[in-house]
Amino acid sequence: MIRIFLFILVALHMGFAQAKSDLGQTLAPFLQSYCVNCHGPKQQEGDRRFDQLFDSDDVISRAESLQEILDQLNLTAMPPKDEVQPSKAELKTVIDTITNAIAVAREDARDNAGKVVMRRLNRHEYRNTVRDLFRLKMVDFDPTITFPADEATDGFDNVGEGLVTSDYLLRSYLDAARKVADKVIRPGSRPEMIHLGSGLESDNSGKGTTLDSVILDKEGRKEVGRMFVKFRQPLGIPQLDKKRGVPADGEYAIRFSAQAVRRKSRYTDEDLRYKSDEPMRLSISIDSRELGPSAHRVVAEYEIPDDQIIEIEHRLWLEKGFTFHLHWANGPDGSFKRILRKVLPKYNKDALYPTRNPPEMYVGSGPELHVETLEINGPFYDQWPPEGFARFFPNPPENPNDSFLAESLLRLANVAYRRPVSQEELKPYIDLARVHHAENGDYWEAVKYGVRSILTSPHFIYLAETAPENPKQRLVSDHELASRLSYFLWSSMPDDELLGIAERGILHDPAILRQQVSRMLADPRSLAFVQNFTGQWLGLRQLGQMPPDPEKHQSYYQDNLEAAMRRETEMVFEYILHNDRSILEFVDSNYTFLNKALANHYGIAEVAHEGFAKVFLKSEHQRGGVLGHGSILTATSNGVETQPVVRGIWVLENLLGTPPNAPPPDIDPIEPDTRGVSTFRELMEKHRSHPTCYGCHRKIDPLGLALENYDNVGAWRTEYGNRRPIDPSGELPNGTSMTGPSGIKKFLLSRPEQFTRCLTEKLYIYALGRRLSFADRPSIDRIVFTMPHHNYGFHELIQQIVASEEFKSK
Amino acid sequence: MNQFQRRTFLRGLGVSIALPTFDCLKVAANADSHPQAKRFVCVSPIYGMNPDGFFPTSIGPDYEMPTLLKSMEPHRKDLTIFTNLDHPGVGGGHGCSSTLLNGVEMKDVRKDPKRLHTLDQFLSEKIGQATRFPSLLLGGGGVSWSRAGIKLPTAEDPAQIFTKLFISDSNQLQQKTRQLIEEDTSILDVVRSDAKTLHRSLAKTDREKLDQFLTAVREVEKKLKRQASWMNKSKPKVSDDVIRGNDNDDKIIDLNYPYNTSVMYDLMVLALQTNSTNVICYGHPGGNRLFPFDGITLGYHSLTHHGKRPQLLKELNIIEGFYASQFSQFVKKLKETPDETGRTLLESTILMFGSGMGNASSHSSRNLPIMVAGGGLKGNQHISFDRTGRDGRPLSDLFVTIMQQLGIERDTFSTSKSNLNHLLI
Repeated sequence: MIRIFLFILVALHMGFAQAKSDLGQTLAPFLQSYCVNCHGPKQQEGDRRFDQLFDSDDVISRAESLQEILDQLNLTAMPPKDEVQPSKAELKTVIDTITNAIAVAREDARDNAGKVVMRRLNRHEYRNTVRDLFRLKMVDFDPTITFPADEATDGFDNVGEGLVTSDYLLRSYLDAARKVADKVIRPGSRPEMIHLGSGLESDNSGKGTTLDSVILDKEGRKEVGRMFVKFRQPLGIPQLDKKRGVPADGEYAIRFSAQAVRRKSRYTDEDLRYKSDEPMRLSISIDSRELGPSAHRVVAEYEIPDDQIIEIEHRLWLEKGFTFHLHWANGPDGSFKRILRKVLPKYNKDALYPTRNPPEMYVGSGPELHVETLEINGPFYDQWPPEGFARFFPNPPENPNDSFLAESLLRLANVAYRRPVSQEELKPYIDLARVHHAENGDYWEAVKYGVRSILTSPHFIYLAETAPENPKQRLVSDHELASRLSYFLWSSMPDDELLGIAERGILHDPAILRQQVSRMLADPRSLAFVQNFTGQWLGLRQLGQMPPDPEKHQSYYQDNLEAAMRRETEMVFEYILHNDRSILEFVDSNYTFLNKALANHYGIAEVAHEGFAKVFLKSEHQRGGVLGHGSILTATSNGVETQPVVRGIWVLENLLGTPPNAPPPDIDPIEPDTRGVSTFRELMEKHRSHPTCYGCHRKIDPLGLALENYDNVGAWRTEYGNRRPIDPSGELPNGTSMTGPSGIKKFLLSRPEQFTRCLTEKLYIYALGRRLSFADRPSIDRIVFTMPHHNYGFHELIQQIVASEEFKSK
Repeated sequence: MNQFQRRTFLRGLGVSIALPTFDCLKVAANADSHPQAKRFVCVSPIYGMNPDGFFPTSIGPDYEMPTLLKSMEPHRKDLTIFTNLDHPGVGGGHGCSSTLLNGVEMKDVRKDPKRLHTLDQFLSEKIGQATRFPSLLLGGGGVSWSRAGIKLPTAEDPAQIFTKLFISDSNQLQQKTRQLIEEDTSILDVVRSDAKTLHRSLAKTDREKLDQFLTAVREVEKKLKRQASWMNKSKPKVSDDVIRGNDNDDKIIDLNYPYNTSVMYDLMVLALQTNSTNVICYGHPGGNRLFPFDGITLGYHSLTHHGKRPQLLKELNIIEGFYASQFSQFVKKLKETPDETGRTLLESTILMFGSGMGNASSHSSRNLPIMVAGGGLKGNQHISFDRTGRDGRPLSDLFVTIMQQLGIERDTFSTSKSNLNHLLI
């Protein structure tokens, strides 16, 4: 092994030495004439220095520098426009020489095995893996909430290098494994049904119904409730609230009857903070007393008709210990106290005397949402025992024995480790459970113990690929490929079909691989790819970290715009992906996906649908492409104002793929003094005049300023708050002038290969779970060059990445 | 050689020389070590303090108390305020808040996340091992990173903190926990040997990755052992007035932020007094919440972007003045409460108030607002350091002094160049 390694090093060196001699002759004088002035002993602009390029023995980093030089020359970004330019012939010779030298270096580096750093599952992947392994819902049950946040490397939190395994995380794994085992191991018979309810006695005919076949206890017979102020205690089943929720995981049926009473009353909407022209809506939430407000989740909403009882049955999944509540979703806002003190006396002087019982005065005069009956039945199951249990513990014998234990745990490990596992390999885990059984006598507790230990194994927690015996043979195994694929497209483990194909050893067959990619993208689990990739490539995860001021931006909160914005971007992404549309539609398109509230926010009047749907855009809407998405525009603002510099960097980094260098460490940000300055542009021009800042900011600022017509929550504006006009014009990095978002888009579309490369690189990092190296370049180049022939289809891009050598090798 | 002489000796070497480790010195010092302080508390507002209201305008003992710190006037004798302390190499942006106690940014130490290890966690390994909780991390904004290099969570709910500190689990639950500790320990045995087998089949870089796992296994084993041994000792009994209120007292207990700040400080006093912990970090969170104080019309984060507009500064001062006055109350209580040796808690506890954010308006990490009190450190002074280029004096120099005052024989921390012993001891 050591000999092989040495051989590689020597080869790497020799190959490069040969290329170096050509290089030295051609490149050194070129660098001396055109580059070293700014990237040499005197100055190291952008932290780059080229006069010592051939002095060091670090072959890899030299090749990476060469690649950078090559990119700059190809983009004609360097030397800067105001410096002496090389002739075309000179440029061509140098570019050819560097290209060849890099190619040689790359061929040698390629064989240097062990590039993909073993990585552990990140928090998303762990949760999804447990979900798919045991067929759990994993919505209200989330054993990963105590996991520390995963840090992103090169923009993505699935890059192995940055995923730390700490003792804190390991303890969280132990706890999570216990919770999962408790949830999954469910021997014995189907849990008993509960049947609880409460409702009005049917004494005043027409109102309320007697519940058939429901035995109501005394408490339940009391009036269920009239909800007249939104913040009144939500309605639930008292027995569940008291007894800490439902007794078992399962599907439950909630039935209730309700009607809207006096939707329009004598009180004005202003006084009640209420919208009487909307039909009343009732929402259903899932709650947990144990977990408190963090578990609260609204799962459904129903319109309730006026003066007419409607009966509704709603089915939902409740985890053990959880319960549900009904709320008046659009009832009067604010506190009941305010209405009694401030509103009621306006309409009724007597309400000033507490003895007259103001609450009683209000009841019966204001708008009310009456819930007449309320009951819950369940749990219901499609099958018992549940699938997640039965697939590993099928038909447990009457008196389960140790051999059933061993077989079952082996079945589990074969799926959990995502590869075949021998009985011998698993023996220590099986023994652990056996001893537990022998010592404690409880068979199913011993099973849980075995499950816990398997879920703590490094084979489960890590995507471990064994080192290749022969560095020339770097192909991943079929099972390793299956995992790469599933964690790329699903952020989860392979399913039975994929594992089956891996088992048969045919996953490397290009046609089969291609077919699997299509199948997996069509599967709902690919939502994980949509969310995790857009969340990180486009920075949607930053959305909500610096929310706008609640007083100034009420509709942002009332209409839940944040979620709507995120959804818009995800839906555009899904649409382009699933329909194999051109990835250039991320740059510009004549459609997007909006709901009414978001359309309203964008000033697009003609959208009437409450839910999300495709909307065709006109150019005056200024919304085509991700640069018009509220999500990105809000995420790049700080909650108070826009940040043109952040937006400029965002465009350079995520659309152009040319992130600027970090500011030099000896420069401190200028403290904003907005008393005298009228526009951001003036402030930035002041900033940019500093020579150290100019180099990068001449590229960054114009892009950010071109987006200034979008405010800090992405709404369109034509002037600043202080009435100063917005000037979205500027000069692009290559010196051409442009105006506004359309200027940026035109620029991007004029060089489609640059955006394609940018997106391809991001996808590569995400797909491989590692940082890119210069050795990946040919593969990426190949894909970028073929994309025009596929009309830039997104689905095709994914297919090509999966088909690339990098994806299939270690 | 006693503590005092050793310090004198170090001082004599001059500050610019990197200090070698003298093993003989170490032994001597340890043999006769009487640390001046034994506890450490750090309070940190994530968005810092507006510099105009925090830094005194004159240096020395007779400075006029700055506007934000008026409430600290009664503690002047105990207090040292610093101007121009910061972490060299740390850039601006929101990220600088979490560099307060380690002096490095995550982006710079990706290859070596261990460098994110913060002062408080380091101290907890040294002075926190004899207490039930090696450290307590409280509040809504954490600044602590573990030895492995992950950001540690904080506890925000006063009722839960009280329970954790002072309420023993039922016998049944303790029984269950003991069993779980035993079971987890056995699981760790198995996964460790499995990981070692796996180790052999991996490429070199992957082995390094798996070494992290093996280290984590060892650490968890230690912590489980620790937990098991502490379970045999009952928790200190204290009245729950601190979170429930008292019928004979008019004081209203509100457990919601920011009103719960005084409750948190009371809990901290109790935790120190009962020797439940020797290391506490308490963070004030960021975000854009609307503070429920008179005169506040804008969210907190919005206010930090004041752009020097007077109205916004006025509102921001209300919030930051609140932080300072609550801290002042805490100092007062520590002065009134004796520790187990009869000294006051303030005498045995080093307090540090500060932020990794120097100026929230420009997101600057320069000239951090830092003040210290207690623990036998000199007070009654405002010290201003020179700036060379972008940097002031390394804040880690203060950390070295804090460590030494706590009896820890170490001459460096993070980006320290020397220490501040001559000013504080």
